[in-house]
Amino acid sequence: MSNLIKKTLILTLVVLSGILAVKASVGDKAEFHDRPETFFNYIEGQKLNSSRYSRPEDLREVDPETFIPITTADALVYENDDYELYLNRATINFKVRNKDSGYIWATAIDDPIDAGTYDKLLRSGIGIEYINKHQQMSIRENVGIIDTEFTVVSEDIDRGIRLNLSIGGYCATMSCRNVYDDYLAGNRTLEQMIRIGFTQIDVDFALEVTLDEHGLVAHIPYDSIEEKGTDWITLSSIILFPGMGAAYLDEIPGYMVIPDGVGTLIRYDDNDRQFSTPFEARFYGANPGITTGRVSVSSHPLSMPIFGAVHGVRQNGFIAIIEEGDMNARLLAHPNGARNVDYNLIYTKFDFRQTYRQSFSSDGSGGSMRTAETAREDIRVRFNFLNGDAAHYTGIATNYRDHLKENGTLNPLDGAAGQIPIHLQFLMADSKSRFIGNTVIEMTSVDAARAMYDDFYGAGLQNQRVSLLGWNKGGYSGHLPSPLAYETSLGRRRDFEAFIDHVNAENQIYLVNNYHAATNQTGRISYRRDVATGVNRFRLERTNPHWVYTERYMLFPESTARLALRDLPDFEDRGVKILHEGIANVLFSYYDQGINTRADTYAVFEEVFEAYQSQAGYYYPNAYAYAHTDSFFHVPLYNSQLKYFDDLVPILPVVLSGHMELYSEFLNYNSLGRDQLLALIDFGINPAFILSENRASALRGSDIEHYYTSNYATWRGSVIEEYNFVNEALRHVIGRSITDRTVFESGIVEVTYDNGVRLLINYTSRPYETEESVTVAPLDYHVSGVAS
Amino acid sequence: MKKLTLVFFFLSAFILFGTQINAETGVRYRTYTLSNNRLVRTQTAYIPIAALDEIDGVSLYSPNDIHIDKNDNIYIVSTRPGNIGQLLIFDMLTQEATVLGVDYLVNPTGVFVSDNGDIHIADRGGRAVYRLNGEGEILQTITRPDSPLFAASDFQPRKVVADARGNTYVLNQGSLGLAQFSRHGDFLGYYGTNTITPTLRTILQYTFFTEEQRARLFSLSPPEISNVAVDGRGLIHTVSLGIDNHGVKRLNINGDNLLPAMINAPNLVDVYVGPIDNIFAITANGTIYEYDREGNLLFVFGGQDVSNQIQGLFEIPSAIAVDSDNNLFVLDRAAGEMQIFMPTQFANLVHLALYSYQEGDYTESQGPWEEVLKMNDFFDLAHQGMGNAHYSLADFEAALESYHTAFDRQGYSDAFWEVRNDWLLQNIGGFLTVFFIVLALYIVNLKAKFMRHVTSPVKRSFNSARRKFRLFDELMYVFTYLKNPADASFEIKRQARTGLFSATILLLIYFIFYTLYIYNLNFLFNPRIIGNINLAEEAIKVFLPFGLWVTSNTLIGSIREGEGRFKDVYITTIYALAPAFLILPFLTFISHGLTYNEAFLMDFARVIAIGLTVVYFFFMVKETHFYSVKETFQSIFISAFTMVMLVLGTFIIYILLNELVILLKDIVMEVIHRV
Repeated sequence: MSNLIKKTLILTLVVLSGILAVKASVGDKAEFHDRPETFFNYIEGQKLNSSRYSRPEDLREVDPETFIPITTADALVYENDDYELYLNRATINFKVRNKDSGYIWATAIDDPIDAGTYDKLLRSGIGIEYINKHQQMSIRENVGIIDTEFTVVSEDIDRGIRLNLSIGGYCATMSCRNVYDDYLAGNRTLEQMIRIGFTQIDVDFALEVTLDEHGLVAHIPYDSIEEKGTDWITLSSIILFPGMGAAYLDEIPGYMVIPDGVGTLIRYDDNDRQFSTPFEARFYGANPGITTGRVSVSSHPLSMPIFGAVHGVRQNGFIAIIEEGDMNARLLAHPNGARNVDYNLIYTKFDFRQTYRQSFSSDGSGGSMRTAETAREDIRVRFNFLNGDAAHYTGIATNYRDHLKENGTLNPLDGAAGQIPIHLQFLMADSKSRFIGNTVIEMTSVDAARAMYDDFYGAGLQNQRVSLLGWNKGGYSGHLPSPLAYETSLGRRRDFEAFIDHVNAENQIYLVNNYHAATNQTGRISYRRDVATGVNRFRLERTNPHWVYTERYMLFPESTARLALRDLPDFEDRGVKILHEGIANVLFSYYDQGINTRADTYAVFEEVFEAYQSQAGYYYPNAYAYAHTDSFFHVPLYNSQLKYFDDLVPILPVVLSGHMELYSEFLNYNSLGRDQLLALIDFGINPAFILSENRASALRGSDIEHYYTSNYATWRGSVIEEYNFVNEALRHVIGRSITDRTVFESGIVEVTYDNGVRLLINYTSRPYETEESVTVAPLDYHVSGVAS
Repeated sequence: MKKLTLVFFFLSAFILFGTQINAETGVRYRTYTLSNNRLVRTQTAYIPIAALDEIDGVSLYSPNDIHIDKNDNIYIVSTRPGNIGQLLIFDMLTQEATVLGVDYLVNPTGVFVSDNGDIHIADRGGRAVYRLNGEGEILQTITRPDSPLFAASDFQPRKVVADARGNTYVLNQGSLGLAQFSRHGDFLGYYGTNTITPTLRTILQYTFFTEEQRARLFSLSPPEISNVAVDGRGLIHTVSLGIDNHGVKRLNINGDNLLPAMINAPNLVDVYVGPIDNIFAITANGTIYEYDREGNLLFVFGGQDVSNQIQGLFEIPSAIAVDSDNNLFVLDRAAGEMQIFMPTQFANLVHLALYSYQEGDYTESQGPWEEVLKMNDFFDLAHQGMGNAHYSLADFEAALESYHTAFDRQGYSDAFWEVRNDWLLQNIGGFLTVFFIVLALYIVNLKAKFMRHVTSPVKRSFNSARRKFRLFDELMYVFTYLKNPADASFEIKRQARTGLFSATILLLIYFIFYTLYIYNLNFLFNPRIIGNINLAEEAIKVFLPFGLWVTSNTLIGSIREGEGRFKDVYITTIYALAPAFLILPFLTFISHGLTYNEAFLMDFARVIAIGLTVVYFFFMVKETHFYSVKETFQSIFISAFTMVMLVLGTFIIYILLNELVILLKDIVMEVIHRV
């Protein structure tokens, strides 16, 4: 009896505190809406199970029935202590068997079920795409090697095999296919066949596959690619291992892992053909230098050259790391049902040539299709297999982190105890049109910036990363790239210098600069010399008569480097770091006496990265810039939110945790309140705010009206409060790496760090009781495992 | 008000050209609000949380319409393949779905639930409107009425709503308005019909076209009502296709629109009224508009994604509904989905503020509005709310500032009246003292004439200055001109009273007056945004018509036996324009002391100035060319016509030259690129 009373009491308390907390958190909504709290379970359930959060994982074991069999067609090529490598020469299908678990990965599907037009591609371990110049440069997509006349000559190499592939004829039309057997029987001549669509592709290349203790490495040397055929058939892409990790409908519990934005999973659920289009995106974002017909639906880039799949959570998985050829690789991920194929697929295409439209009129209309070379690099992809607990998205991320540590890209941060850093950007000045020329809008004087810094310092925010936006002469918009010339209406040069030294005494200060893009009113820029031209020889520019600076340009990488390197000594002398916009997240092809590829652009940018080593931070850098900075600004909190994405998972933060200081986007623009702060804690990201002395409405008429709130006076309290909320969690894990992340139930997440600290986050509107009988309030967190 | 198109954004596209993205809430569209009649970015108001193609295991097939009753049960009518309709009822509390009507519905396109729980279904394919009770039993079936009043040949009910009195309103395919039926199913007539607004064009066409042409042209019907909804007070709301500022209407019992002109897209396909009478409307390409009860635009967001891959965007949206907590439910017919959107904390804040505000509890709304402004300093409605709050707390100075930021001129005028009143009351003593001193001096002066010791030296030096400086004298001549334009024009023409140089200086002085006027006119009377004034544009506005007039009038004068040379026309025109420009400093000055209550003073002064200018123009032309009255009128009209022709001609030549330049450029370009 007393037990019952006790239970009732506890239940009442829990419900009461829940109601109170919900009321507090949603801003007294109940005042104008009286209804039971349970009512919106449905909506909250939909929210927590949406692709804006991580859902609990499907931990079922993989049915051994679904294991891929090793058949008589598969010959053992090589084995080491952990794995056996088999090859089916007829289909170039490699299979790797884990000796320990017995799980088998294959690069093709032996006998696909109802794969329609993808059947031949999925049966092949490798595929190609070619451009037919006689058919308006149309690209023949998804040609599986077994669909062509090909020969293979193999030679043993160290720890693996090299296949010299020679691709010959291919039936590009149905009528050709229908009579192909006839042709083989000698009843038709080659000329007759060509007339009905038989295509001599005539491309040779070598595929080297080796096995090491981590897994498989596939390598296609660029030098081995040889086009011997007619000049109107030319190779555009190589499709590597289209069947790797393929899963039929929901037969295997698991998911595909895509580094889109912060990271996403596509689960192996039976979609009932709800999705007809596969995910397709280029690593490191689109190429603005080539105008293609295809429009990307992504809002976030794949900023790391990796992807993966898990077959049976915490059982089997792999991560693919594209070591070479990443700058011109596309990632494709088919949720089942896409293109009427019932397989979940994840694979890459490497583009050596792309087509583009060359217009001959100044308005950019009309024109004809042409091809441009886009890559001159080898392809090298490493497939690391993950077993047991590592077969998980955090395992995939940590595997990549280890990989980056081994090759020296990432270095551990100091794990010193203390307070987390916060990024405070001071919006100093911008400009708007006046009757003659432009006028500077003063948003924050140097004195005010200094006062803000000191005020926050005094309020306990001692670990600040300060950056100044619009510090330069003329203000932010239209005046970057800028040398070290201050906007003197905000304060004298002396004041700026004193402020910089003042911050540098305890912290770090950055000046926001942009050496990648400029405008028609930027000094130092010559339209003819500096504004980049795309492969179609049109300038890479945007115009909009509504902007204050009506034309915006992308600069030639050489111009970027010239200006950035010229200004660097001044920045170094002053001891001020630069927060770079643009250059770490844009790669493009351009025309300058000839077509330059994205890799050429990178080679030029790399000089800048190296010169600015330890002298710069970057906004949302792609993986190739990781080696050159220890601060990552504007870490994404979301992904592209495509309908077939199932979970939002922190791939990017897990990879970088403990090795890079991560700062969020400005929380002034967070309309989700606590929810977003919890995501920061969940992902280990430090807060960031943008502040100004003046009210944001002073920006009316400028090009940065989208900074619609920044006033220090109104934000001061929130900055301190929100910082403290995040700091109380993350200060226990400064400089530590995330090792695991578990979703106990919808909205309840636990993140584990390498020092044993565990952060339990409750995204729900109900209190959550842990196994240790700790109650975590709604929209709150709990820290455990702190060494005393 | 301008039309707007929204494009869902790609993060990368903005990074490319240097603009960093600042707000990320994981949504694929931007949210806009209104700031001085301009759409500006704001915090995300709604986040998409689900795209469901089935609910509790029931497929949505091709969903047509959705309604949410007061207990937050969701009703969705869909069409299955093979002309089978279904009504899906989903209880959000138990999370269970019920399916009804599969046996008799054909192509149900509208559903509505009355407060008493009766379900109304418009079955377009079945040519009938059904009324069911909560258990799904058919209580009433409405088919094509026999009444001769029912004009439409066919009965294809698309949408249905019912009011509190039990009347049913049916939107029939292709009909003019809502067909109104009584509780017993009798056809009562049409309601809420749109009208054709006559434009200058239609009037001209009607006047000049032949009978046959007219017949072809005026088969035009008024804009079609695309959807209908009922608010909490039982008022019927409609949305129509192809109407720019009155796309959303709230109808009174006579069918008149109660809403003011609003910003909307012309392709609205559905409307719904939310829990605090907020109006939600969605366009054919997936843009969602939210207005407050008064029709102020709060948020615009959403968009189209024909690839059907992006969460929160639509392929072909068919209906929108809102539950009692402002969650939005949007059906997508092509994707066969229902997407759910949840309001963010920011949107909740705005709704909370509006709730108090609409109840007239301005002080209560102050706190939430302040929070809203903290989140977005450009939010006009919040500034206006703050203004009202300040006003009701009698803090008029603060109200003035808020209204100014919100561009709420009426509010500003009211607050200014109060401020001015205070000021006048405070300073009344000083005013009276000054007034009596002046009065006393005046009376004394009548006797003692001591003022002449002050005025005569001034007069003397003024006259000597006129004698000494020709330019000064000629400028001052403008006052003589004002006194007698006919004689003055005569003097200028015949006696070369003034010169080209001084006239030009006078013209420049006019322009300075004009510039001062547009920059310094009181906010209440100045529709311009100071920051957006382009002085070059304003110069063109002043000098171009002037130049055109002078040119064409000279030309016309020379062929119509006028005596004025170019110089004469130039000078006399400048002098004749004096009233229009000399009034401007005066207007600028008095505008700072006036509210809308005394606005007639401004208008009155303007009318007089313009009227005088017209009269002066007449005399100017008459005297300069030595015309008779009839000839003067002819000259003026022909000159005006010539002005228009000059502009058109220049424009055409410009276009042709431009084409030529482009052609040459393209030839060069093609040569370069082909080589």
